[in-house]
Amino acid sequence: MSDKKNRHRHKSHYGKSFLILPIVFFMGTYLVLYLALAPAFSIFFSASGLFFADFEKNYSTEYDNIFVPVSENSTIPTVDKNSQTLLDINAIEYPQYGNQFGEILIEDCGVDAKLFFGDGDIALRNGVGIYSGSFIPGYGRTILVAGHNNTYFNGLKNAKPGQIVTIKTSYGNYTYEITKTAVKNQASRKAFDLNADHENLIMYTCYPFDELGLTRERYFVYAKYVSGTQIDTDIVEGD
Amino acid sequence: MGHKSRSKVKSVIYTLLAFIMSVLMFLLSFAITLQVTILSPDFLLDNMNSTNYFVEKYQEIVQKLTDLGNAGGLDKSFFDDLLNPVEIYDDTEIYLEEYYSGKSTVVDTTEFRQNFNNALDKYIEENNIQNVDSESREYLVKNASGIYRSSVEVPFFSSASTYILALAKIMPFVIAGLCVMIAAIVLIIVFTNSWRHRALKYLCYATSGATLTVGVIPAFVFMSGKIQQINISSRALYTVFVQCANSVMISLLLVAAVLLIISLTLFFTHMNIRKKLINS
Repeated sequence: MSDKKNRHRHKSHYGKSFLILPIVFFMGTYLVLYLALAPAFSIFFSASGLFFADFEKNYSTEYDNIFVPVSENSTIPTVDKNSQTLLDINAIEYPQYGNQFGEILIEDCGVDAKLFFGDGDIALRNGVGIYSGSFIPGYGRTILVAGHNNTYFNGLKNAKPGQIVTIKTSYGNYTYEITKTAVKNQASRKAFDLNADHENLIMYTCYPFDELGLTRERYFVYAKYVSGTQIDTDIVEGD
Repeated sequence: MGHKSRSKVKSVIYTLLAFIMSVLMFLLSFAITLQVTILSPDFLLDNMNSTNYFVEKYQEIVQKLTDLGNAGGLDKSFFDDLLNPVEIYDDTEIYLEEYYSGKSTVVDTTEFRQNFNNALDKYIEENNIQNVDSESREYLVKNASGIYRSSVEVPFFSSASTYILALAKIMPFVIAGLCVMIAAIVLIIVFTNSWRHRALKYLCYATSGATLTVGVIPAFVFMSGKIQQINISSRALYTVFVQCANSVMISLLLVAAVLLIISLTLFFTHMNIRKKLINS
């Protein structure tokens, strides 16, 4: 009787080892690998996280257009500060890199192009782009705009002091007056000042205009601010 | 008492041997998968063919060159006949052959530069362009061939070449060595066990453990969906990478399936023999 009981007890425990031991082996294998490889490969495992995004990459070459022309009787929320009427920054949709957010027009030069935030390939293929390290109109700082000399900025070769540049955005229209033009080396650090504390527009393109090849010089067109409602940036700077 | 403790010690030793065999089988599975996938020169090229890589790569290169051309005063139509997918295939094939044979890790752009210069000469003549600076033109050609080279090359391949080539050289020996070690453990377990069904039991533990260890990798990777979230700027390369990664994971799944069949066979054989012994 006890023999049969022992046999049955043995039977009831018997199959469990075929489940438990493989799981133990599985955990043991990864433990051994971890102990053996972690010191040498931990840096690669940490770095591997840099190669993955949180979502699948979008390979579309389409761009987002957030530009809606401001009509004459539209009202954008403003604030009054220091006897100045400023645009409420919270009412403005700040463009993301690659967005078309406006248009730039120089009638006297025949320049009429879409204005993008960012000067990447898609922006310069479809219009002209603001260097993302500079500012957008209304911020009271330097706006640096790039474009190709054989497409949208070909008209800059006709730029002369006194000509008017108009930038249209969803939050307002801005005008600038060209003050001077200059040819400088592409690596010149004196060509523009991104730290200037007054609103100014700088447009640049490759020079000479009709030369074939990648040139090392750039043609700069400088313009001073004339009109357009400034943005209340105090909130941003205070925070 | 002495017989029982000897029996327990033997059981522990066989379990340990089964664990070592499980680890070796996992390493062997990995080595074989690597050998037939990443370390195989044809693997990448086959996947490129099956994912329409060369047509997409051609479109990408033409787009990049067009953007460069915009900066260099070239019309978009200049690039219409400059390249074709067949040339990209040929250059890629040569690049991969030379890479895996250890000859070179960079794409030869001599032919591309020649074609580009010839096309430039024709363009200048047809459009009667007067303003051509030789330095600017050379800079343009240099940048264009740089774009072509970086587009055809596989990123990080050149920096990983030392390791990949070294691995490719030693892998057959590693596989042979692992097979020998596994065979040795199998022989030890089988011939030192007085009961055949017990030997099969330990072999079953080993193969089941290996099945779990190998199978969990593709299961985890597929469930996490991480493969599709790789951040590669080239769409053509992204598609190839996803295809290659999926192929590697499916290979591991197949190996896990084979190991599962072996372990199930061992399990049922063990149970049959044990049942016969009990009944007799």
